[in-house]
Amino acid sequence: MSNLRINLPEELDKEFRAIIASKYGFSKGALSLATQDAILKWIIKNGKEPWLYIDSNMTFDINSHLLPKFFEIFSEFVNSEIIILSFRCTKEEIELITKVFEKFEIEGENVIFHLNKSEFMQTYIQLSSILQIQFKSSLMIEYNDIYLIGGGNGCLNLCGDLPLAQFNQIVTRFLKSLEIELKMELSDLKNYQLMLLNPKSELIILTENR
Amino acid sequence: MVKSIYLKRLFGHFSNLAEHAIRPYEPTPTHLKKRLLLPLCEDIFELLKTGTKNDFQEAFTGLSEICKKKILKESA
Repeated sequence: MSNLRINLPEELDKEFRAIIASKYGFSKGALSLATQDAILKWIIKNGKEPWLYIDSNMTFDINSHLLPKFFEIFSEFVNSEIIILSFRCTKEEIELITKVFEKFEIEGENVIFHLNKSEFMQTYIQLSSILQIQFKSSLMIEYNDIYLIGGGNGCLNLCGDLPLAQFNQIVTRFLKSLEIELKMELSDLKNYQLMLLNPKSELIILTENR
Repeated sequence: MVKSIYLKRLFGHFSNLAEHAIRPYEPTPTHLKKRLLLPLCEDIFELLKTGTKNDFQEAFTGLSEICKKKILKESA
């Protein structure tokens, strides 16, 4: 832990402490906790993209290198024999896909792959390598009644009704696969955020009422 | 049951925006624009370009459901 000595205008200090007291009470360490939180938010707001950020509202910001592992684990946990992978593409990209793949559909500017669970990962990896689909904001992966969609580059949202306990199982398994130590059981925990600023950082666990 | 791929994507991106808006640790305005707003804009353009009258009806019905479920519930 580092010590930080700063000078604050009196009014700012007063307001800061008043909010800390209303939020955390007068518990020991509350000032440090609130300061850490403020600094973390400032770091992110000023351009630091966390290597990994998982929110219990089922949104993710995952470094794109981790996506194959994430999709692999997600597909294992979700009971769906058919996985539909789709994305928007240009005419040139469709021509390229036609040369490499046999089974796919075209709907307007969209390419759609209906894949068995066993062939999903291989197809995803091929498409990532050929067309960089991990960066496409139109990438959508559909399971039975839930789907993953994002804005590209690992910014993902899970749509549909997945029980929180199952979501937490997926998160736990994913972190384990990355050898990230989770010092608590998620089980049916809600309103939490997990964050790693860098690959070798310690996992930051935040819980906040919303 | 949503059949159209671009409608499903529109709902997904709108939902993503709604979920991000209530996260306590939100990334930069650049991230918000690139990863949340631009994808949503593209979906709207695609709907406008290829959607049928029924698609528009379905789009607004779906978006209003997300509003009720994710945004209005939060502010209640």
